[in-house]
Amino acid sequence: MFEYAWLILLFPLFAFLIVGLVGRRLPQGGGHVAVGGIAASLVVSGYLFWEVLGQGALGGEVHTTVDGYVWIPGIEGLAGSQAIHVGLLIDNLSALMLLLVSFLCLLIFVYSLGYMREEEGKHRYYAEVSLFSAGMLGTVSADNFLQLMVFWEIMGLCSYLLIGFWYHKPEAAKAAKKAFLVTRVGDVIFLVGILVIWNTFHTLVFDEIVAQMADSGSEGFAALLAAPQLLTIIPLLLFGGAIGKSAQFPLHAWLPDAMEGPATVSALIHAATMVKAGVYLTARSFIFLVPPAALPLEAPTVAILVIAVVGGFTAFFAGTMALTAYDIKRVLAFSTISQLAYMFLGLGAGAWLLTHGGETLGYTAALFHLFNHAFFKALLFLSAGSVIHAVHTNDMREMGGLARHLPITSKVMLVGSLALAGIVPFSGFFSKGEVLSATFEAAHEAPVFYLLYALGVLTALLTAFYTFRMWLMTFHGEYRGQGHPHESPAVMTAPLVVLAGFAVASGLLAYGMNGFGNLVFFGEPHAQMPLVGVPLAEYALEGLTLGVALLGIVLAWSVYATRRIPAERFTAAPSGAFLHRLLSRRYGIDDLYDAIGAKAVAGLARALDWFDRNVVDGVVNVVGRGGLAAAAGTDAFDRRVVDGAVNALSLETVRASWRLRQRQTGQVQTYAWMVVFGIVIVIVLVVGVSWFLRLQRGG
Amino acid sequence: MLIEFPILSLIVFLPLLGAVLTFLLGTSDRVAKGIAMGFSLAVLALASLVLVGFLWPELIELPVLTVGPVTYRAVERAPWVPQVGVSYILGVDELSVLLVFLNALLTPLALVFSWDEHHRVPEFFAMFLFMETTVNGVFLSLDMFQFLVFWEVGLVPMYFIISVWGGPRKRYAAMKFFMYTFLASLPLLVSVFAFYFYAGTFDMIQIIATTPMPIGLIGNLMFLAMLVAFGTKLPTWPLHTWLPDAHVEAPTGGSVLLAGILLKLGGYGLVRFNVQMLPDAAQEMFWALAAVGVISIVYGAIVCIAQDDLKRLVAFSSVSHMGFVTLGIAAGVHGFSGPGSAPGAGLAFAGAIFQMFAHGLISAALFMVAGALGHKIGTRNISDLGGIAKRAPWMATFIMISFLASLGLPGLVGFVAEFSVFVGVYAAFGWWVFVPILSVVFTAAYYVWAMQRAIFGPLNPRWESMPDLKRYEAAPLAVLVAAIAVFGIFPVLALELLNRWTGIVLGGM
Repeated sequence: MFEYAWLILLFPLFAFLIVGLVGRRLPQGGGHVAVGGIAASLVVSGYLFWEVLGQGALGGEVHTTVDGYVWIPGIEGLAGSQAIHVGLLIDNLSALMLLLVSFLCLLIFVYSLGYMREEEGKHRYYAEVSLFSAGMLGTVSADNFLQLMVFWEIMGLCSYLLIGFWYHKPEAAKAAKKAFLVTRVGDVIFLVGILVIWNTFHTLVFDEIVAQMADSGSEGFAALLAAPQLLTIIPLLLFGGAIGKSAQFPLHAWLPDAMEGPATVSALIHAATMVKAGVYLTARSFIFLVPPAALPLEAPTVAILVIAVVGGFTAFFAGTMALTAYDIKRVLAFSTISQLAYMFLGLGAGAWLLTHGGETLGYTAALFHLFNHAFFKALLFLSAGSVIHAVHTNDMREMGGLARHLPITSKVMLVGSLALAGIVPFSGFFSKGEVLSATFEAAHEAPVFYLLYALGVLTALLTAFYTFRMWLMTFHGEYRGQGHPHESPAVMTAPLVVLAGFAVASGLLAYGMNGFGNLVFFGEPHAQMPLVGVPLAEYALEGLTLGVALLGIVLAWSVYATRRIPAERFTAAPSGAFLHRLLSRRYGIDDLYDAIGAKAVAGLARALDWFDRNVVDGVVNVVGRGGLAAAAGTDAFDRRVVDGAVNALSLETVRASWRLRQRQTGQVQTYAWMVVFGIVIVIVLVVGVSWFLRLQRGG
Repeated sequence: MLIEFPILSLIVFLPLLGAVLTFLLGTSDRVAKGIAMGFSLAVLALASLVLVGFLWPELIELPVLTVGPVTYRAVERAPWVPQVGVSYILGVDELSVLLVFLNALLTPLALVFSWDEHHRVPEFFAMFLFMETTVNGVFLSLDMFQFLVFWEVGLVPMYFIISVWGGPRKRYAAMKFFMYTFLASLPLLVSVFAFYFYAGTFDMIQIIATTPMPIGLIGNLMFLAMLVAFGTKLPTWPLHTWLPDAHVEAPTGGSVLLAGILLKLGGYGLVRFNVQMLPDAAQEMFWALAAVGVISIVYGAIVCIAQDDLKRLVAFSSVSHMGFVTLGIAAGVHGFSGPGSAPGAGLAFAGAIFQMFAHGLISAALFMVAGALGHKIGTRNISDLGGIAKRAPWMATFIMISFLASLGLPGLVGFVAEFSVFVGVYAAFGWWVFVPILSVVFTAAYYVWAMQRAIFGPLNPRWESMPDLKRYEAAPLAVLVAAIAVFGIFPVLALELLNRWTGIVLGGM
């Protein structure tokens, strides 16, 4: 009944084809086609969401698959072989994601009309972002893991191309390569996960997997009982892919460098959508993390803990690196890593709670944070883009005092900053608070979550601090750069204002839905509005997070606005200077990867290449040279006898052969005759020997 | 529509006729090109008819011959040397139809791409048609003797294409190509005798259907002998060193067909002879296939990282990608009987064959772009390039698409094949899958690194005025890219046939 949902993917795909083929000749490089394509998608996904709500998604679940076509057919004659289909899954989560993604894409495409106006090669940009949006929409609507991965990789490709949009800049080309290769490592692990799933269940469809896990007569059920460790291994392998895509430790290194792309790309791909795909995948892998009750196996606690710990650690770890960055977009990039980590922490805590008799709280909180973060981080990146558009640099040391010159941008960015810092009633407050509450609740069962909770609270402090450090360095004080910055045109500020509206409202939306958990949940819906009718302890937790965030803002204010605490005092101390260097060098992890990737692998490659030329091929050449030496003796004879014979191939040269004789290369003819000779010998041998054999047998 | 004329004989010998006519009537280069194109397109039309006959039998009906579980179509049979049981037998099944179609598609594309060849044009174009005949002959022959004749004669045109129209070291490369493959077919010869000795016939249909082949030592030795023969052609490590030299020296059109179709003769032989005709030995000796497959995959990918010449790079990537063929076959014959592993193993077997088809399309595009680069600016060395996307955007685009296809980007044809093989490798060999799957990262690394240095970054001032692709170069590339995308999005078009055939072959083992 949702067949029309295919259109959501097809519109941007067509836009990609049109812009890719003829965009060069269209006005604005085909920007309007891209906007039109995604606007059409938005209309359809809006309608889809409306229909899903109408079918009772609030407080219940809509869950339908839409058939596509056979991608890889099954094999008749081999037991258990099934076809791999292409299909869509329409449920609460995917309907919401489709709406969210197409809406954000539309806003950012419109903004691009202004931001990219002066760029050469706009048509490339619009073709690639259109393909990207098709990829993201496909990722969140796939009904099976393989299809999800195909679209996931299409996004990765577009991310690669768009990071390298200014490909003539060496840093951009290098950053693009790094992004592709680092995420590729994750993707390979993801791929192995898919192989294991397929061989265990002989299907990759989410629903069919769940059905098999609940059916004691099924193949997958038996396979899991025979190898219970698979239940832990599969989600861990899937998580490997999520780590790469969502830039979590230790595969986080590509995201800060990805900021070499245009700010719109950072907003769209590296903040609002693609990097969320890892979170989405982990949410989908809850079918393994929280197996059906009918499966008599213990829940994969190790996998759950790994997800939670990676999340908690990365949140803090990335937050620290944001403290020393001077590139406005890198601050936001580190912040994105850190916020994504909150989502993983929430998912880990959620899975823990669900497998220990709790509610869907953490799962909901993580996806709520995904939802809110998409708006306010897109807002922040686009605001940063507006700033960069005005001052032509990313370096915050050359900014300052821009509030006067960019009145709209400064205000909307303040809204975004408050949301990121988690100040009530901006959206980040609600979802971050819920993630931390879920973590705290999970700690009742497993004390390690206390540690993660502490890290999370500490991260909230860091977040507020670096966010306002960024805002103050950019907009407060005196302008330290060159020229006269101007506010951006309306085509850019209008999307900013819309996003600012959502940065305020998206958190409050939960009240309209009787709690976000009433729409997005795993298992049972959770009708609980934030801060309404919760126990006192909950208020205390939320108050703590809020207080910590306010403390961070105050600290930033006293360092970067009033300068009551000068930053120099910190960096002057030897330990402070060391810490500063450590953070600026990103803990040396990038250098380590460079050493492994560039030096060690390239060295191994050179060694093997030498081996190939000198050892493997060396043997061949030695044998060959011996053979040639033997042949050389007969060469003179050959030349005299067979010279020109090969020219019989050509009538013209036969005529001319006498004349050309002196100039012909004897070598070729020699070989030619060897070929003919060889064939004759083969034929004679085959006929002769087989005749002989036949005589023997028959005789 | 029922096909009653001997369509397969036409597919095999029409190019030969075309070659002769191109020679004789090619008084001017234009006429020669015209004749050659005409014939290659006619063959493409015929091959497409046969393919349609398999995909949609209600449209095109081919006569059917079912022997045991296996079904052949359009079989033609005539006595040739009845004294020794040699016959002329042509027939097509799901395995050969795809490869014949690939050959029929790539030949005209290679001809178009070579449109500006100036040196001895009629001979050049005739050689390509001659080669098409021998390759189609190999794929369609169902008599071992006849197979051998096409197999050996097939060396001749490629030898000349390299040695006459090749690069500076053409003599060495052509000689190496010839000696390598010629010597490697001696073990094949021996094995064919052995088959004949045990079966009393050269008829492959009969051998596949009925005759119990020697098992134990002799069967295994035959298997290994043929592995050497077909493995050299494929090529598999450590018999691969002729390939980089041949590719570097061959003219672009020659490289396209060498990688696109000649390498597939090796894979075809492995499937047809080693598996279909020696099923017991294949099940015992799977480890040999798996070992050389894995080594080829990983070794080829790592060596690629060190290459500077794009053609050498693509040549080694072919070694790596052809490793998927051997590995997939190994996974198929090893895993198909295990409980739970059968579906995966089947996919790997079909995937191995599909990999040949995929690599045929992708490597053809790769060698076209590499050759065009060398042709236009006189170098294919990555270190000499830099930033050429600025001056030659179409060239850069096609380089990028073919690289991405080759590194197995999902949505394109190569991914389907590699995915299927990996599925089966896990099914058959478990966690060993991590070894070949490592190559996925290495493959991405050398291609992405090459793109970074060759087409991105600041423009090397030497190429300030470099020309972009010409129309006759862009058109065949566009056809290939379209095919790469269509078979990536709808692999069922080919896999429907291959999976059916796989079910028959593995199910009958």
